[in-house]
Amino acid sequence: MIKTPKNRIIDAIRILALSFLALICLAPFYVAVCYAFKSKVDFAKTKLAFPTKLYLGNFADALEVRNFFDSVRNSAVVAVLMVIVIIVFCSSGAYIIARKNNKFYNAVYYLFQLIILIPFQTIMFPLYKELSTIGALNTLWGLCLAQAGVNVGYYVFLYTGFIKNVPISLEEASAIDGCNRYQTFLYVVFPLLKPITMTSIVLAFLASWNDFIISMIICQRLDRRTLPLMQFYFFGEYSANVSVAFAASLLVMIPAVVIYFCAQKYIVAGMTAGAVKS
Amino acid sequence: MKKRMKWKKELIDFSFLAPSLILFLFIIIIPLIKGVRYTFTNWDGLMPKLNYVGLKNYITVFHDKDLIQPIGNTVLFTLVTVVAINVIGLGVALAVNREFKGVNIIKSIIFIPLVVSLVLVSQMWMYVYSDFFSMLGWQSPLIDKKTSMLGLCIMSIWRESGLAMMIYLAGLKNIPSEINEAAIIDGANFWQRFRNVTVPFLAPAFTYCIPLWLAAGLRMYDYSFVATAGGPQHSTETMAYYIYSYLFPYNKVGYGQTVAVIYLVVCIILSNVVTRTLRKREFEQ
Repeated sequence: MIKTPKNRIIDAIRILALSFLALICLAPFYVAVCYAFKSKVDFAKTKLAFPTKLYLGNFADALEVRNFFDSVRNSAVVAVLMVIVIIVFCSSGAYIIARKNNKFYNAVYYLFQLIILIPFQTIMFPLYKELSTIGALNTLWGLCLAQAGVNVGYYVFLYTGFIKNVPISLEEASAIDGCNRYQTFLYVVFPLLKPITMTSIVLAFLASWNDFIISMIICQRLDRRTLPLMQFYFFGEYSANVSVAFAASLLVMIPAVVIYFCAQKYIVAGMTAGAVKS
Repeated sequence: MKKRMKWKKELIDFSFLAPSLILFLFIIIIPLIKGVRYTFTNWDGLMPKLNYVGLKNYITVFHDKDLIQPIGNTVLFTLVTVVAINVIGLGVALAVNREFKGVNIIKSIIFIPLVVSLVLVSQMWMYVYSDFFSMLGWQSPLIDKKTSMLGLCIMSIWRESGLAMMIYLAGLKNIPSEINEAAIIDGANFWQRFRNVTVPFLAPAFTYCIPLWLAAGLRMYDYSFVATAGGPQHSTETMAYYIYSYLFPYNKVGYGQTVAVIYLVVCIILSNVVTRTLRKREFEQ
């Protein structure tokens, strides 16, 4: 691009506008940080002025809140289990859908995609009753199954799109070498799926870590609450002490933000996968 | 013998699909069927026996005046968020589709709200509205029933425009640079290039983005629940919130489930119509 004065002005406007937008994106975080890093007295005086000294009392208080660590553990267990279920179930399911490509498997594929259109409220109550009859209410495995079930369609969709572009010749070669279908999948196909598997791990983890509505109907009991649920009640009960609630929220956000910065390229790859084909 | 071998092979193949299919049937399909069954009852969710009332619930839905407001709120939220998220996302994508210092940092910052849970987004914005707005002498939009829904729209736009930006950006990267250069040499100005080069190449991205946020808008629930609890004066009750209230706090499962099933059908039809229209345009261009 030639650097004419006109282009320079346009570039300057562009950068100014983008910086302003970035500021808006950061503003809500700034409010949270102000609350979390100022003592109550300090906040009443200085409000949203830039925090001059770091006060860590709110974080100490947040860590001492009953069931904070319970919630961290619940969320971590559910998220890790859910990721494993999603990866194992969806990679194998998508593999066979992509390779068989006959009427039955295609029908299942479309059925899976239907879930993207179903509002959770439609199945919420029957699912709640169903899980209660098998004793899965207020259990972490129940929550994990529900989250995985709601998300299964999306990850089968992601995997299938990817597998359709993986050449079949390697599989045929391994079949000639005497591998059965399980061995072929495990040793030949699955390693080739690494990019989409990384994406799925990151997206599924974030989906589970941030899920609110499913946890809300399945894990209401105090010691079974996940982090978003704890945060929800926390702000309600601690409305007089918002600083502690924000400190807790910032702590909860750390894993998500760390994952985001380490795995940004996988997140973007997964979320734009459906949009740039053809 | 040969037939048995074939069956065994089919069974092995099916075993790959079985786990995901069973999970899907158990979590989605069976509850969906049970949910449809509840619509023919006046069940409160607790009684051990179902009492069938025929189509009474369906008739009630069409006379339910309380439904008008949630429908209006949902339509407003969906329209505002679909338009704003796509326009902002596309605009920012065009602005960052160029190499300059700091462009990656700006992209990261704009994208980062997406990793925050809806609960925390609601809570951060509640305090932005109450503390930051009061510093500027503005009133929090969540207090007034005329602006409360827009207050929730802003939360969603803030959180999700970054994703739209990323999707459109991926589309823009797909445009061969020769085409744009050729258009410049032919003397096309910015608007002409945007209309005749950029938009046609972005067609798959539009077909993806618009139905995505249409579905998200129609399902919106969390912001209403966390930030405003449907208030003030029902002004932020969405369809999803309305259905939830009948299922749990009001214990009118039969009726709530009826609204939910009708709403599901409406959502599927709407999404299909919109997707098809966009696909058709994609091929025309």
